[in-house]
Amino acid sequence: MRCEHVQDRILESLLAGDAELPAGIQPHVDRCPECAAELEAMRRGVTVTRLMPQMSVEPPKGMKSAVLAAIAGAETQRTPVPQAPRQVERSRSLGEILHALMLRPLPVAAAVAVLVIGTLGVYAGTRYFEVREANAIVETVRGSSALANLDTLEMADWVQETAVHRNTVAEAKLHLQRLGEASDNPKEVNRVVQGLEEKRLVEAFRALVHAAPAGADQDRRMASEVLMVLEDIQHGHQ
Amino acid sequence: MTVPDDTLVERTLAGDAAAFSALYDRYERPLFNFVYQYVGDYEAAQDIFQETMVRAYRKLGRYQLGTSFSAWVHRIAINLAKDEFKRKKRRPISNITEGGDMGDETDMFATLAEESPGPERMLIDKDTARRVREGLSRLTREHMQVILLYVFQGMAYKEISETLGIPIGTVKSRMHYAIKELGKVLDGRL
Repeated sequence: MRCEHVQDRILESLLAGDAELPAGIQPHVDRCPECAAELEAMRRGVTVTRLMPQMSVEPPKGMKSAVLAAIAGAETQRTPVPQAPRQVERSRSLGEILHALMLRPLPVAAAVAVLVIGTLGVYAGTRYFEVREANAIVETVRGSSALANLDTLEMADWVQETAVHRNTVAEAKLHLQRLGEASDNPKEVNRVVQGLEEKRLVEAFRALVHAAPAGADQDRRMASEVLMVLEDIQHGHQ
Repeated sequence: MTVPDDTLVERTLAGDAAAFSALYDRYERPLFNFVYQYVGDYEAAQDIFQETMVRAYRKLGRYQLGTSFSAWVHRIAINLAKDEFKRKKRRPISNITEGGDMGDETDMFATLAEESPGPERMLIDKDTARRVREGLSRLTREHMQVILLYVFQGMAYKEISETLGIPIGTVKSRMHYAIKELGKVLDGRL
């Protein structure tokens, strides 16, 4: 039996608190000075780990209420409210984000377009991405060094939160109202959400479908899907 | 019967504030102790713990049901602790380093042993506590993470692996090394 295996079994046994070593291990230890030394060292180490919980500390009183207050967005003296990621993500207006996305190179623009439309679909109340679909897209963006940048990650976060939490039209409207209140430019948010940007988006994605280079079938397909959703949204407003 | 974490997560996402309160209660003590032992600073531990729970709440929709909530929330805490180390160039304890080489010799744990930082439940004598901390102070952050997750959270290798995003084999080897290191430091003194 190899010493490495024996030492693994010794550690498992000690951590489990077994009174005796597993069958077959003790004879090896008896005739192997190296493993015998390991056994003693590990016994001492495990003893230390048994002592550590006895050094535990009490969380400060009032911690829970401070956390809940921070979650609720209330200021407390002890706990400065952490900057909510959602608020950070929305520091720019939706129009600015969309504009930035439209200037991206084709593969990025096509991928991000799905995110944009997923979000628009929710806000327009005509179509929204299912949670799994949104998660898959978001994970694709996050996992791609080519796609991941400030804008795409920002939008990815946004879409995921939206898709997960706001999957009904009623909730979407409520979310829209909150977004407008939180935005530094609520009129712009409303303007975009109401579909005034859609014509520009449709034109952009039509161009993407036609301009996709050879071999970029996936980009073309994504852009086509986006275009279809956009047109659905437009028709819904007419 | 204990309500599973995932059930509490689902209820929280559905708008049940009491469910998050229950999750908080479940994790307050073990997670706070994990953070405190990891950063070795009671004040910093408060900040990191609070932000961990706030972020956990706000990002709850990103947690994948069916995985380990415990691993997920500990990952948040570890990442925040790393940010804290970077921002303030504060070491978690004593001479711990990411890569394993020993840094400065300031023994924060030795100080902590003398000056209890909070309402510490010292069930062992101060001298023993100081020795235990000395042992911990010899570990790198990576080795300490494994030990603390095992000791304070009772995590098995697999869950530690998920929490830290490392293979189980690496967890085993780190545990093996850390245990031996602790044993060496306290050789003949306990």
